[in-house]
This record gives sequence, structure tokens and C-alpha cells, in this order.
Amino acid sequence: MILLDGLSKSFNDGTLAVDNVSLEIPSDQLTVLIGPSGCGKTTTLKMINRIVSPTAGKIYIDGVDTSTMEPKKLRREIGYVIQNIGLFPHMTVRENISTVPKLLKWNKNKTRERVERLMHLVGLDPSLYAEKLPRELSGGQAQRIGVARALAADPPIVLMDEPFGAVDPLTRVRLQDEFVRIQRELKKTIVFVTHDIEEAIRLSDRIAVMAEGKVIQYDSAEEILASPANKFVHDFMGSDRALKRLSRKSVGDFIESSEVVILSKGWEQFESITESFVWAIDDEGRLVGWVHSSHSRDTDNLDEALTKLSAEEILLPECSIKEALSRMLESGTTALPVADKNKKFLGQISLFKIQEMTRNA
Amino acid sequence: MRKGDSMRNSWIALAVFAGLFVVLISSSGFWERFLSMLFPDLRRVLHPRGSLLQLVGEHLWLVFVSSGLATAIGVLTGIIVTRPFGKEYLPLVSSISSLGQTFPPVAVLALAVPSLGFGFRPTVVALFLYGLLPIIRNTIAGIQNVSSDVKEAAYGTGMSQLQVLFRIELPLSLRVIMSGIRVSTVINIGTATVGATIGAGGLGSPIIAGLVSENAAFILQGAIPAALLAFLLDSLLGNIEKTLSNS
Repeated sequence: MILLDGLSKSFNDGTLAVDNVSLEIPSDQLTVLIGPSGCGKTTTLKMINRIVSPTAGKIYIDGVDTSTMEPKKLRREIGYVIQNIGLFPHMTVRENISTVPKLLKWNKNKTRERVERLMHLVGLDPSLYAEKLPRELSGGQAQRIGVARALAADPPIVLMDEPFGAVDPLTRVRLQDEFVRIQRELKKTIVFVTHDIEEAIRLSDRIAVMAEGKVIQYDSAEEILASPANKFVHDFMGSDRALKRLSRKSVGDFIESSEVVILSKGWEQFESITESFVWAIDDEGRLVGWVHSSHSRDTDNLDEALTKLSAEEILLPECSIKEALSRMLESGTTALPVADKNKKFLGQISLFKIQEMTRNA
Repeated sequence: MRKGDSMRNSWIALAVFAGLFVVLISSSGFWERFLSMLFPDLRRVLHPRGSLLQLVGEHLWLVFVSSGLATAIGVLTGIIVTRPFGKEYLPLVSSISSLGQTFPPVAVLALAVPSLGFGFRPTVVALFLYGLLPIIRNTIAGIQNVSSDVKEAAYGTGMSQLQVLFRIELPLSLRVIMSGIRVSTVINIGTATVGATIGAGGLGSPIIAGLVSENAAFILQGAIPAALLAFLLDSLLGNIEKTLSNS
């Protein structure tokens, strides 16, 4: 746990960048510091690894006052990723990642193995990229190497200052997804600075909203979106807060059971069915489409009456409710089926259910 | 691998040129015939003060001592004023180093003579002072040009100030610092000929003698080797720079 206790920083020109901030940052979770430019989020972050020294207040890491530690030693135990990546331009990718292991005097083999493992972790093949120079990498690749360098000595804490700010939106989303996967695997204590609210909602366990050097609200994304502490937070979160909340919820948690028919069996199944249309599955329980109960029943074969579903119309359980809603609007229906990767039918999600959920939250 | 090959080739080329240069300056027969051909009216074409080899030797020694000192002190000064503890001297040092360039070397020599007398010593002092400035200026510029993001990332990994200097700042500013040293050394080779006016010897002796006695052959005898020497030293330093930045 990182404990910020009454932390303040005023610069030489008299500006008070951080004003009496106290924050409990839980271990193994990702805490986002967010706010408009100049709100003090980056300064707060940089005080944790003492790149900036506080004017007042203390920082404790697992109960140890960091001001009693040697900065060099402290920093080797804290991974650090900055916005402009800051890869060392005269060193190869391998040398860049090896920086901290080298400072810690790891032996060559251990360092080598570690570099290769990390490169696999961030999705870059060591045999292709290890000997390249930073200028030979794309922005997204360089950022991955920046993350790998920060993780090199397996630090328990990682500080990230707008790490995905300098890449294009498409690459950013891909990096965020990969980062979520990495964090799920490694479980680091991460402090993450951003001004991008979507990014904060996507990645965070907790969010601290800052303005003018103060923490205005510190809570989970759901809680902040549902009940913003004041007008500033309300405005900062945007007018589509309800939609943003939906992006935090996944389809899997709101599946309703629904009636189904088995395609190989006949129309007699409809005797017990109350809905006007119904999802159809095959003998193995795989979703194949839907059938309308008022379809003409010339033959006993349901195949004739089956309407197939496009890939867009089938939801995966890990898909967000926001996306489910968008797909419903697109296909003009009020319910969509949920199936797993192997098309196994799990149930459905309906507009009615989503409304009920937002009303209750 | 190809980098290493081209590096080796440029060292071989340099060695060949240096060898040719030594052969050229040690064959007085060649110079006599060559200069007599150019200036058939002159009675004497070879400068009597000493062999060309000896003059080149004196000249090189002047340049070596002064540029060596200038490099050591210049780079050190540049490093000190870019450290946190030396920061307050930075504006002073950088304005002096820009201003100093506007001083003609003859003026520096003229000022050095009253305090240090004639000969080798005042010349070395003048050349040292004159050569110091481009080195200081380029060292400061090179180190200041290292991106602050890269430095912050380096401190963030837990490097000490010395480690940041030797692993990050100096390697990244090597090119700029070395080009300062090259400019300074090449200028010194030319400027060192002025030292002959106060008896420091070197390739300036035939040039000055030629000017005084209106003997163009003497002037060429000093000027051609000095020009070749400048070219050779520049390539030598260029090769050193490339070798360092490859390692």
C-alpha cells in the first residue's frame, strides 16, 4: 500500500501544484489520477519516486517513510513509464530493458532470460526486435518497450504518466487491452496518470479526480459516475455518464435466461412458448438463429423458418453493456443473444433489462 | 558487421594517407624540384632553418599540447557547468566562450608575450585559450540537447548522477562534443603558424621567412604541409568519434 499523507508541493515561482493531498493507494490494484492539465496529478505521481521532492507531507510505502530511503534504491523498486517514453536512443531494445537489472548487478543469463520473457509479455518477438534501436520502432512498439523496461526488475510498484498519450487512438485501445491482460497476470500496484476519462474507466480499479492540486473525489469508476461529488466532477465525467457506466459492466453479469427451440425438433415445441420470437439452437446447444412463432407452418421442418444471425448480432459475455446497447440500436432489436466463443448459447440481454439496471444503480 | 568493416576501412585509409604524408615531407629532393619548377627565378627554394620533418614535428607538438589541454579542460568545464552544483556559472561561461571567438589569435599572442616571454610557452597558452572556447561551447550544447525525457527516465530507473552522465549524457552528446574538438584542433593547426612570429618554430617559420623575404616557395613549403596536417588530424578525430559511438 502507498500512503500519501498531507502531501504538498509548491514550486519556486510560488504556484501551489499539489495542495495537502492524502490518499491511500491499495496494493495490487490500478489507481488512476485524473484531472485537467495543471491539476497536480503528474506532480503527485513524481513525488512517489522522488523525481519531485515534496514541500510538505510524507509518503509511506508499506509503512516505510520514503524520505528516509536513498532515492536510487527507492527508484529501482518502482517501475516508471513516462509519456514520451524516454527510451535511451543510443541503446538497443535489449540494453534499454536491461537498464535496471544491470544497475542491480544481475548476472548476464538472468538478465537475458528476463528481457526475452518481458518482450514476449508485451508482444514483441525478441529475435526480431531485441537488437533494434528505438528510432527503428513505431510509436506503439516503443511504448511497449517502455512498459517492458519499467517491469524489468519485477518492481512491486509501477508509476505511469500518460503512457499511451502519444500514440494514435487505434494503437492506444490495443495497448490498453494488452495492458489490462498484463495487469491481470502480474498484479502490480499501479499509479496511472491520465486526462482521458475513457481510459480511466477502462483501466482503473479506483479513480482519484483532482483539480487545482486537490483530490476532489476518490472512489471506484462506477461510484464516481453514479454520484459525482460536485459539479466539477459531474462536468468532467461528461454528459454521457450513464453510457460510460455501461462500459464498465459486462454482458456476462446480466444474462437473462430465455426460451429456446431446438432446430431439429418440430413446431410442437411452440405449444409451451409465450414469446413471439425465440432463439434457435442445434443439438449441441450452439446458437444458430431465431424463429418467429407466426411463421407459416407448411412443413414440420424449422429450417425453413430460421433467420440466421450475423456475427455482429451475437454478444460475447465479456462484451460491455455499452457495446451491447450500441449493437441493439444498430440491428433495430430490443434483445440480443449471448453465446460463448464456441457459439454455445448462454441466454439473452434485453433493452428492458438494461433500463432496469440503470434505474436501480 | 558492415559497420565494423567500414570502420576498419576508414582506419586503413587514414594510415595510408599518414604514410604518404610522412614520405612526402621527408623527401627534400622532391620539394626542391617541385618548388624550382614553380618558381624558376628564385635562387633558394628550400627554407634553411631545418628539415621539413623537424618543422612538422615542432608544429604537431605545439598543437598536441595546446589542443590536448584545451580538450581536457574544455570538456571538464562544460560538464561542470551543466551539473546542478555548477549551474550558476553556466550563463557566465557560455557568454565568455561565445565572446572569446571574436578575439583574433594574433591579439591573444600579443597579450601573452609580455607576461610569458617569447617561444613555445606563450604560443601554447594562446593556442590553448583560443582552442578552449569551441570545445566548451559544444560540450554545453551537446549535454543540454539531451532530451529531458530521456534524463528523467534515466533518473527514474535509479541511476546516480554520475551514471546518468557517463551512460546517457556523454554518449548522446559525443558527436557534438567531438565536432567541437575537431574544429578547435583544425583551427589550432592554422593558428599555430602565427607562433613563428614569436619564435615558437613549426611550419610558421618558412611562412614568416617567405613573407619577409618575398620568397613564395618558402610560404608554400609551410602552407602545404600545414593544410595536409589539418586534413589528417580532422580525419583522425573523425575516426575516433565513429569508433567511440559504435562501441
